[in-house]
Amino acid sequence: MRHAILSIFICLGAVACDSAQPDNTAPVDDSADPSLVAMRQDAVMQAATIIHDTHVDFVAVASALEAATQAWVDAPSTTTKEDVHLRFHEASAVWQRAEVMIVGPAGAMGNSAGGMDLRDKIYSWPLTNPCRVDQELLNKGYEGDKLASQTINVFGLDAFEYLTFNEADSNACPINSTINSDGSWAALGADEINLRRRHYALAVAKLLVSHAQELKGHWTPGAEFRNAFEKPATGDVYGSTREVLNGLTDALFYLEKDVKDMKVGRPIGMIECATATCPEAVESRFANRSLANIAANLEGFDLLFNGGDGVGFDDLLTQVGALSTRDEIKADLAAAQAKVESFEIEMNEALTVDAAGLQELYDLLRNLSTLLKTEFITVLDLDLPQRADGDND
Amino acid sequence: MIRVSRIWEAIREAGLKPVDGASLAAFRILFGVMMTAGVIRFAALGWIDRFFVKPEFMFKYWGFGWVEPLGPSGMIAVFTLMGLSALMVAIGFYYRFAIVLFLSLFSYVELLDVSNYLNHYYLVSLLGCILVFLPANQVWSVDALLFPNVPDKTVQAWMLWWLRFQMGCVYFFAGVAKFSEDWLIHAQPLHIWLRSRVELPVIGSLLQYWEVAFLMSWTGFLFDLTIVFWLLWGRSRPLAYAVLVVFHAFTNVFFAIGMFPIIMIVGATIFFDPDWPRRFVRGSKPEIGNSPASRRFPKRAIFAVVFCAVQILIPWRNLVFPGNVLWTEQAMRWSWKVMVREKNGDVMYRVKQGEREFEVSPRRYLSADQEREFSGQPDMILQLAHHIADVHTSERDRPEVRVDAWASWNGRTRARLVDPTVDLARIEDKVWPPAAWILVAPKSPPLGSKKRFWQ
Repeated sequence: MRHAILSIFICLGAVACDSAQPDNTAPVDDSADPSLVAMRQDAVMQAATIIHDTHVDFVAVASALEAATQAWVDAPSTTTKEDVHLRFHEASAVWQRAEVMIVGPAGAMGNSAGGMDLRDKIYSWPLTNPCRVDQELLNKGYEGDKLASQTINVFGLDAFEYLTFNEADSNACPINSTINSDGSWAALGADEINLRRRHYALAVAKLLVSHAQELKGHWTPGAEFRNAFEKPATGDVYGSTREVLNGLTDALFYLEKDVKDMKVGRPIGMIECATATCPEAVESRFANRSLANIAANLEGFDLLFNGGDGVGFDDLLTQVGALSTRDEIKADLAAAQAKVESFEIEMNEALTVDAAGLQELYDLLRNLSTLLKTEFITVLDLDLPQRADGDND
Repeated sequence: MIRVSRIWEAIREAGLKPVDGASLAAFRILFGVMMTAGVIRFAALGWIDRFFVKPEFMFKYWGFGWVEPLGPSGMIAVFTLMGLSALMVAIGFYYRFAIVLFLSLFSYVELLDVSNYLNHYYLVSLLGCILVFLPANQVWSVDALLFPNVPDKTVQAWMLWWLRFQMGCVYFFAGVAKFSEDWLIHAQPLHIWLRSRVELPVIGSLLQYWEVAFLMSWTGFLFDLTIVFWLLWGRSRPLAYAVLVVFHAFTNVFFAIGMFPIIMIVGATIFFDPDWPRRFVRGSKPEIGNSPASRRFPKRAIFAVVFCAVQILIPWRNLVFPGNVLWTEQAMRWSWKVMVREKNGDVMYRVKQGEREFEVSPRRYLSADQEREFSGQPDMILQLAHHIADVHTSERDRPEVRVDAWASWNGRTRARLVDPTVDLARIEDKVWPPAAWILVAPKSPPLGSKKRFWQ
């Protein structure tokens, strides 16, 4: 018996010997706050409020955009056109916040819980196709109700940007495409092209408002999806609060794949670019607001991560004792925001005159992404995006 | 010397003793039914496509680089045949052929992609391998009805020992793997997992507490380490089995571990007396006394001994590698280190081709499932580095491929997993010596660790 007891102590000693390392984390007494369940629920409710409020804002700016476009159609002038541009920038600033909130109906059908493809209908970047827009313009595909049934890259904010900011009379299709080879585009003439662009833009703006209202409707308190989001145990869309939090985390990862890799990494030639730089890969080629979009993306991330004035992921990290993770994410986010704000020029220009600045922004976003993909999802036991349930052991 | 020969004599006598083949038959039936159900589940969930058709790149096992997927139709055919062979095993129809076919197909599928490795898939391969050598079709099989030359209804005792040994290995070494600071002191990764399930009914709110995770960690450790011995002891066996069922039922509720709980619950029935199924099934019992006892072990028993020796040695092989196996992953597989780590990584390759330097995301080649598994496993990071080097190799030169690989393990702050200065394109994938390019594990305790209970 004495041998057995001695053996147990030796074993415990062997386990504990490794633990003689310096303890560089402050011990956290999580038993002092028995409210992790309530806090997770609060985080979900707050996220729903933030997303809903963002969509309410977007409906307002999209409606203003539609009104401005109508005025431009009714009385084409430099003033009305500038107003359209101004409203576009306002709408984009709000939507780019929402880009980091692609949850539920905004998400891709079959790929995201409750997904209804509404994000792509509002903004289809990077699947944009100006040539397709030109083809629809030529065929008057924007008339009547035809536009809504077309592919996503002929309407939405991206198509609107091309129609209203592109000043060239030429089209974006290859020289050997039908609209060029048969002379049908050339036959339109500059005035007709501009007339059609105005009417097409108006059709796009109307559809935008419709989709924005639909999306907002799903997040309105009491709506079916909002209920499923806030009460996941019903199992209608989500099976658990953990699944809801995973949905929100997926949305936060927009910062990694879309912002870091596609909006910054590709144009500066760091990733998926065969040449030194890829200026054609910048997000906003016509309105020239790529960095402004990134600033809005970071703002959206900030809102969702910190929960605005309510409970957010930062509070969940605090609750589980991951204080250094929380602080690093906040610090990296603030640094990235400051870096974006520090640019006095837009990305198209910065690619040639401030490549080092863009590289610095990329590195900051990279740090933030690494934190998200390692500590953040580990300590909160969340999943990486698009990873469906599978077996483990 | 005399003593050794007496022990050998006792072992031989006990091992060659004829026993009722009913429990082995039950094992075969349950194994076949489980595997049939498993194949149907795999196909129904769309996993054939997800794991074996869609991925553009697959991680190869060392020495099995030649194993390739067969394309969509081919993989569906493989799984169809696998399901059918499992069903044939269950009903005991052309049993030998069926179990060999099942094992071959299952092993083929498992060898396709390292990122799909699961301990319970490995266990299925091992049990299938053992069944190839055992006459599990002597009782309750179509073979026994069709072919009068199928031998009597008894089997030799060592055959049951072999299966018990294999099941016991899983539990015992899973217990050994839990003998660590993380599991026993920090209650990690259980604490992380449990507190993300606090919405579970009834007990959910308790799961946020470290003390609960600590208690459950120790319970799991003691269960895994000792359950085999309780199952082997006749007096404790019924209670031990009941505890085992409850334990696996709990793990099934808490974690997405697929077929693992049911495999273990079914597999552990082999610890019961050889005639246990006859309590539930009417039929004639074999007359054990009339069965001729062989005086010599068959050749397959020698294979069984070698098999068992290998199984005893493999789980310890991490001891010859430096560093923590849960971090370096060297000698991690095939050693029953079950559910002892929560690890997430971020990997980005830096390719230098001539004067130009650019990054390549693993996402370019991997599915989300593969990326999740690969990002914490250095040997897989090396494999993809080689692939990226191959893809970017021009006629003139092979690029340098370095990696920014970070990982967070059991709730610790992230640390570099791989030396970022090493050109992985020029590192050979070898089992030995230990990889110097894998960096040491972080020494800090998991974030939010409680003060140790004795402090």
